[in-house]
Amino acid sequence: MKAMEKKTGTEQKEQRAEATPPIDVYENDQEFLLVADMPGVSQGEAEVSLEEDRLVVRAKSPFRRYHRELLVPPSVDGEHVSAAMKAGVLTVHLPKRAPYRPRQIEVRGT
Amino acid sequence: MFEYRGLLDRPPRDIFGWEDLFRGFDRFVRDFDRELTSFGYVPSEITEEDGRFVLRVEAPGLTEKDVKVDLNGGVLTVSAQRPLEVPKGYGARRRERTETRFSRSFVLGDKIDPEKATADMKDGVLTVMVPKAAGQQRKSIAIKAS
Repeated sequence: MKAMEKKTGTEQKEQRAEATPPIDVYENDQEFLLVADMPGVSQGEAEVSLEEDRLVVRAKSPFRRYHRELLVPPSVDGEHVSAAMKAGVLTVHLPKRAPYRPRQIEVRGT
Repeated sequence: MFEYRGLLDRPPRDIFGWEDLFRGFDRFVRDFDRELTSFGYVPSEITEEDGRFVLRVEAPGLTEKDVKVDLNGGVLTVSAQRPLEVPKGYGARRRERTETRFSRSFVLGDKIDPEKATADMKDGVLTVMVPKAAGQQRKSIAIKAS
């Protein structure tokens, strides 16, 4: 249903009027780290949500609106995503599910 | 012969009618943009409101400690630097953000009040306000019927 709604004309037009913030994605064994530049956006004006397999970022500054959607890999643990906004920069931590994290297995002697 | 020495220089005495031409050019620079010299791209906007100049610069990730604002001889200069490093212990998967490194200067002229200028950094946006000198502000004059 959501995908259908997206295709209506007015929705498309509104999206074009929005700015696409530049994004960096970093990764380590434990998580993905997403960093987005959105100058003018204060903490209360940024919204991050997971919609199925997409991470949706929406924000509002006194000058413009920002909107960005990214595909999230299945390894991400959606329950533990956290986000913070500081000095116009959004950071989102996307931890990986346990089965996707490397695990050290102790080798025991007998 | 006339030698062009930069935007700040006054045109020479008007012998060949250059003065009007250059006044026009000077005006174009001052009114349209007010920008003098710069390096590095940074989204910025300077507006002339009633009674003051307002400069707004987008500098995400920067705090008041990273930005330098200088007002000297009617020229406003804003500069800053933000190196972009991969966070420790992470590998980069996608990099779209760019390093912030800029210096931009704007000619405001001498009819300003530098003492009352203010600069404020909030949510990665720098706002500099420079009031015009008293007497330079627009004033409407009431017309009395007689």
